[in-house]
Amino acid sequence: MTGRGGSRGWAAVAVLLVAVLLVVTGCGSTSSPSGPPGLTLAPPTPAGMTELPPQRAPAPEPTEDCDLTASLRPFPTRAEAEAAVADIRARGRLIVGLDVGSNLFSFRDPVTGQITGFDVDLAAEVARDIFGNPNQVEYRILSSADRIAALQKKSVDIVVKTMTITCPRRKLVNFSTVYLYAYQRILAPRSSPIRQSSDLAGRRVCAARGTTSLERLQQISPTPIIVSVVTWADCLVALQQRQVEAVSTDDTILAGLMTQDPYLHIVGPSMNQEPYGIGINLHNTGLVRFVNGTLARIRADGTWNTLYRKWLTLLGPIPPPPAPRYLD
Amino acid sequence: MWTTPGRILAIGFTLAMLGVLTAFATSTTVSNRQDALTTVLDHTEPLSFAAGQIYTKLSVADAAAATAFISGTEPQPVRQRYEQSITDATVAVTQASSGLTDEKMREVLGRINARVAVYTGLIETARTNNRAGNPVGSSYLSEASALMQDNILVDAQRLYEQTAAGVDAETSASTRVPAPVILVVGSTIVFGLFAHRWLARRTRRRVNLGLVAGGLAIAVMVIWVGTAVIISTAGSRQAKDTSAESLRVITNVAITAQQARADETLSLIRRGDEDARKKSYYQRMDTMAEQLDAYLSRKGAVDKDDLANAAQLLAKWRAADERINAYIAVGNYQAATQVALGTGEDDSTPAFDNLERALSDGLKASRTQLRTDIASARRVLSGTTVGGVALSLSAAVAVALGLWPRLNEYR
Repeated sequence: MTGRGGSRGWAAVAVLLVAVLLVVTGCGSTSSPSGPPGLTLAPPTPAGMTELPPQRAPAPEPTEDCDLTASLRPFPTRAEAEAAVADIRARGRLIVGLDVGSNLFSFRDPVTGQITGFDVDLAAEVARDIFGNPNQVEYRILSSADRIAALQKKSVDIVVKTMTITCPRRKLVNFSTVYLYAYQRILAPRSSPIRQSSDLAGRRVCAARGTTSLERLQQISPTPIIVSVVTWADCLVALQQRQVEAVSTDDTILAGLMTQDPYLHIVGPSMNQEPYGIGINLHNTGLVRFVNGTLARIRADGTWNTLYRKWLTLLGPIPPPPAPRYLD
Repeated sequence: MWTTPGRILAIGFTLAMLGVLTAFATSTTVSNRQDALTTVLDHTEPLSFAAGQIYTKLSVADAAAATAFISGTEPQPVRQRYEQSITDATVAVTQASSGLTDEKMREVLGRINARVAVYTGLIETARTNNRAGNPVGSSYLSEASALMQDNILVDAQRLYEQTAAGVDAETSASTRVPAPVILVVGSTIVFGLFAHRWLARRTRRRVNLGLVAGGLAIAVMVIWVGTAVIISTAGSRQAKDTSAESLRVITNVAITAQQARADETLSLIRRGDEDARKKSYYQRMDTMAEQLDAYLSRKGAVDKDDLANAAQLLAKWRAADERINAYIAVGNYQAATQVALGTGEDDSTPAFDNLERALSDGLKASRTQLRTDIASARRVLSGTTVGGVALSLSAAVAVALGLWPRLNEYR
């Protein structure tokens, strides 16, 4: 450093300084190894999935204020029946409201792109009675919230869409006789210890938004953690991705999910009975009687059994068709 | 000290110092500018381009995945398109990762990289389920698309905007007026003139050859370097205000187009969110129309030819989409899908493909223009460093040589 003066002291200090610097920088580089920074990301979730805050729903009205399952008697004569659907026949096709997100009932077959299912075949039977041809049907895709409005506006003739008959709905639209009883049950992985609704307490359970199934889950005590999604198929995704431990809704819908995943099974006793009916405009009583005539025919001639066997054998042995109840 | 020879000596010394200072100031300023432009060309702009590629290609991949899904058995070109976009995007991630120094942005890129891996997995799950005839495939596709639109593309956009801002900042640094150099050169000239007048009066020789030669050298340098810097600054400004801006607008339009396409095809899967999808589709179409209008009415837009008929393509696409809506309204799903995927004159695909091609050409042209602008801004500066130094120093030497004989007269 200093060539002049020969001051050994300064040289020594300089050497010492350099040494200290070397040690300090050396320590610095070894004490903080610069590895890749840790990164934790939330797992992917079905589009629109949310966890509901814990909240108990009020218990359902104990007394039903209507005769839920009673409908109008079919026409006694063929001529009267034909007169009731004259306008539909003049149009040349039956307009049916349904959705494509309910596997086994109405869904888009990925292979053919056609809409098929139990509800779709049922609508075809109505068309067969009107036109003598089951294919003269036009589908309108409706969301759950739209189906009553569509009937009121008469933009569809009938709604066949796993539609549960309820008293509030009865005030707005007409229903056919019951064509199927569904039961709210639980879908869980085969390896899961969940066997009944009380096992759901404190666990994450999936349900679609705006359904009666979700409300019923909130009535379980102690309450499960409810995760809500857009469609029932999203529940299957959530289940497969281990974001929920079970799904609870009508066994008919659960069966549709179960067919897509052999590791799942439906468990538990029924939590509630859901009568499905075909929705019709409140004032179109002629069509109600006509559709009830079709339902009476398929109960009697074995078509109902054929359809059940075609789509719903997963639900167990074929039950007898729901017996019709008539108001008059 | 304040005898005449002392003053001559002082003047000579000051002038020489000013000459050296001029040489130093011009050379550092010019070479800093060259370095900055080189950094933009070799580092910042490629980084920003890579970020733009990530953003664009991932949008393409998402739209292609949705298109493939609704076509049943995926058509080979669509499948290939998806695969190529994922390849391009991941290669761009690698390129960007080697250029990013900002810790925050590295984290953003890390998230993009991690989520793209998850995304491709979800797409394959959707594809497998679809192939197996399980309707749940559409739920997986929706999940994948939501991950892309709500998380990955948001991060990609942030990364792109940040790196594009980097290009802007570094380019505009080269458009600043070089005040210190002007000051130094100005004072050299003023002092030189003063010295010459003083000397002429004192020595009764009207012209001092050395000082005049020095002055000429400085004048040549000022004209040369000054012109070069002015041209270079104009180039940098053009790069920033025109080319970079064009590139950004076209990139944004291109991405919006892909997202609109994804909305259009995803609405055909019909999960009950069709209304929201339609709304989003029309919003994106309006945004694109606005951006394109603004772009085409700009004076300095780089590539108007390719995009001249973009508005027409947008209108065509919208018309096709209205036909899709009409088919959906009467429940004719297959006809609607046919319009979305068909290659007929009035179907969606040709309109979208042509728009995409036009945008991709525009993107290429804008980028080429940007790089050309920056490269030429750098090129005009080449040689000026050495030239400036040589001229300034020779001015100093000339002054010394001119003053030496005068000084000798007083010995």
